[in-house]
Amino acid sequence: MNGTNDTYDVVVIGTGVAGALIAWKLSAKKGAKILMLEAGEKRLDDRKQFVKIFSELPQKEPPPPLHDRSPIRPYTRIDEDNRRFSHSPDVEDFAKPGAVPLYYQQSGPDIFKSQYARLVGGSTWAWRGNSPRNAPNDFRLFERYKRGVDWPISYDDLEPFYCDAEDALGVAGDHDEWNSVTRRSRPFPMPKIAQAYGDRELMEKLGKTKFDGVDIRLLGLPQARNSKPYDGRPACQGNNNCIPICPIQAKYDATVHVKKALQNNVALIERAVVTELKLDPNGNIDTVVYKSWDGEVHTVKGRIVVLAANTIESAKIWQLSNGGQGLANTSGQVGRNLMDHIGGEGAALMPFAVFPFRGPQSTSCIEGFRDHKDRDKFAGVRLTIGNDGWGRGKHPYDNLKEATGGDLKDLAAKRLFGAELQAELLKTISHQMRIAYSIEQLPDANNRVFPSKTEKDDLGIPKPQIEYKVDQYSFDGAAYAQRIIKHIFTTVRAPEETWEFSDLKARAYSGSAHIMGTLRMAKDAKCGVVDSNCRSFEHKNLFVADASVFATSAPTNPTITVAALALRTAKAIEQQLANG
Amino acid sequence: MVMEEDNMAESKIDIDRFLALSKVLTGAANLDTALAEAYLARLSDAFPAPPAPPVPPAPPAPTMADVLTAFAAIEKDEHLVFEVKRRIVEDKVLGSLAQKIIFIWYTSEFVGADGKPKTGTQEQFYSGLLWKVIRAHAPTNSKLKYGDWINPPAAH
Repeated sequence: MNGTNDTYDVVVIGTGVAGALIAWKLSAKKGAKILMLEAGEKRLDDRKQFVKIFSELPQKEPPPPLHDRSPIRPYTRIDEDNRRFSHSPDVEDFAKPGAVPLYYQQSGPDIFKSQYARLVGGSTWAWRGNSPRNAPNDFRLFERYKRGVDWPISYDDLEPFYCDAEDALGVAGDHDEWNSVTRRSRPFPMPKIAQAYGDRELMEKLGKTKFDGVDIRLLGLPQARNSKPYDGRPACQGNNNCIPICPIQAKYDATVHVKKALQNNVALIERAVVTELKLDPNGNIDTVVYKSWDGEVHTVKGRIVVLAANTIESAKIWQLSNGGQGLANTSGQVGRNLMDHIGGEGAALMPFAVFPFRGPQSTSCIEGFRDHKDRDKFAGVRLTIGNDGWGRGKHPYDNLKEATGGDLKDLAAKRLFGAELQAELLKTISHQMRIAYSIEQLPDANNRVFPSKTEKDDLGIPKPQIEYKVDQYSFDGAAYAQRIIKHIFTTVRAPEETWEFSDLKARAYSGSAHIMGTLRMAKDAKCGVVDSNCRSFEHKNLFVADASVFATSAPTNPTITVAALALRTAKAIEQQLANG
Repeated sequence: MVMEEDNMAESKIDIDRFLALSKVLTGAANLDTALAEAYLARLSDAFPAPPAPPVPPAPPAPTMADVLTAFAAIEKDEHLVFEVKRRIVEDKVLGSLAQKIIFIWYTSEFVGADGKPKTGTQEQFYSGLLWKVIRAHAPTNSKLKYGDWINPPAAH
């Protein structure tokens, strides 16, 4: 074991948006000695290489075992070492029956379908940048609807930090549009992202339609994407590739704050996979143990330790710590309440051209149903208008194959070529639109992650074992979302013959890569793992700063809430450091 | 030396022929000659002449040479598009390669004889006709300015 003599004021485990923001914020004031540990690689200057890899990979899903549509693919394909050690659940096709488990060990009954990136900067490399805030009722779901639990903080507690997070990430949005949805004390730092041509056409054709008594309004989706040059990064050029990679970094990713932290003299060790936190006799974290990719074991010490390794990894580290006995678990909630947003979509050919694949992958959303009147019965719903044709449901290459005769086995199938082929592709793809839904999932103690007792990764560290089920509350929310989308398609007269919907009778759902829960915050140690400042109830020098602290999921993309919580936690850490 | 020159001349004829056929199949009037050379090489490598008669004899696998030979027989026809449809696109054997020629020009990738996708270079991906035809651009290859996407695209 290689121990270092270095003791840091703060050791931050993980360099995603939460870890990067905390390291940056704490290092802004001189004096604090800070270390970031990252399980993945430091590839801060490799954007062009990632883009090249992306453009030279198959754009369509090839047959097994070469599933190449994972958003993580450009990053894990960079070299063999990275493929071996990156340990993001990369090429596994969760949706296919009989798929071979790679990293996640899934016990069911349902499949957990979301993944994350192990890389300096974390999963924000491959996010879409969507940054709507949680609404006030999302923090008091039990009080308001007798569902789930309440957070120990209110919307008002977090609101100033939402503003700070929007400034830090650079969120483009319209203050007046959003002030009525989620009260705002400050404007966004940038005007909203220009809404796509197709969205504008849809808005015009929809007119003043209502569903369930609620106006259907297409708002400009707040996004951590530049609508003008901001923070040294350019305005969006509409590359339509936010996932998996923005080629010009107009979209925020956490490398922005990793670089700022490094400029403030924060130390960073890459390829450092934390395996355990050791306790001192007082129950505080004494030592952080990690393995480098060569298998060597190392230790460092921190006066304060911040766990920001992602909802799955943070919960796993918690349970592997203290000599394998795990850290404190008074509430019994450690590793439990794993949540995601249940995803799906409706797609149709619009009776008007929308010309997708120009501009960001989505620019508009519908917020009127996220806190609907029946939320005591079924889940809140958010809808996003796609600007990428039929998205993952049908790639333009599928249209091309269909138009040229498919697999050529059907002799009656038309084999278009030349001008006729061009006309067919333009006519079809330019009219493709999809509306995606994102459905909240309730905290359920039976949905959990824990270290596998039998399966280990290449470094000999237990893989995560997952037990997971999607409940009827979420599926009923998905059914409601589909009814809204069908109403929209009917209103604009999109021919029903062209509709495609996720099949809820077959319990179809997708993951959203919004992994939440597992170390939830609560008002006391009987109900949760960390307090309202995201500090462990029992280990007073341990903070958690990723989406594992979420008490409920809301139906909203979690990153801006993770960022706001991280900035709030940084303030609490500052105070604790000042108090000695 | 003479043989080498002969080979080069033959290869030039093949590229020209491939380019002419490609124009009919894709509907694009202007196709890049350097890409044509690269695409013909990639497809010819993937669909070469069979080395020896397979045992038991399988149905003849089409080769790129077969396609170009078939095209040579019709390239001067007054109704070229119709002949390409009848003799190549709808031909039981050659039809699959016609589809692959379309795919390589439209996307830079095609499925090889082994069933696996064969991708091209970044430059080839960015040259995909599909994106031009739908009046967009290959992902990560936008030439737009901020906000251009609020208006419908001009036809290329």
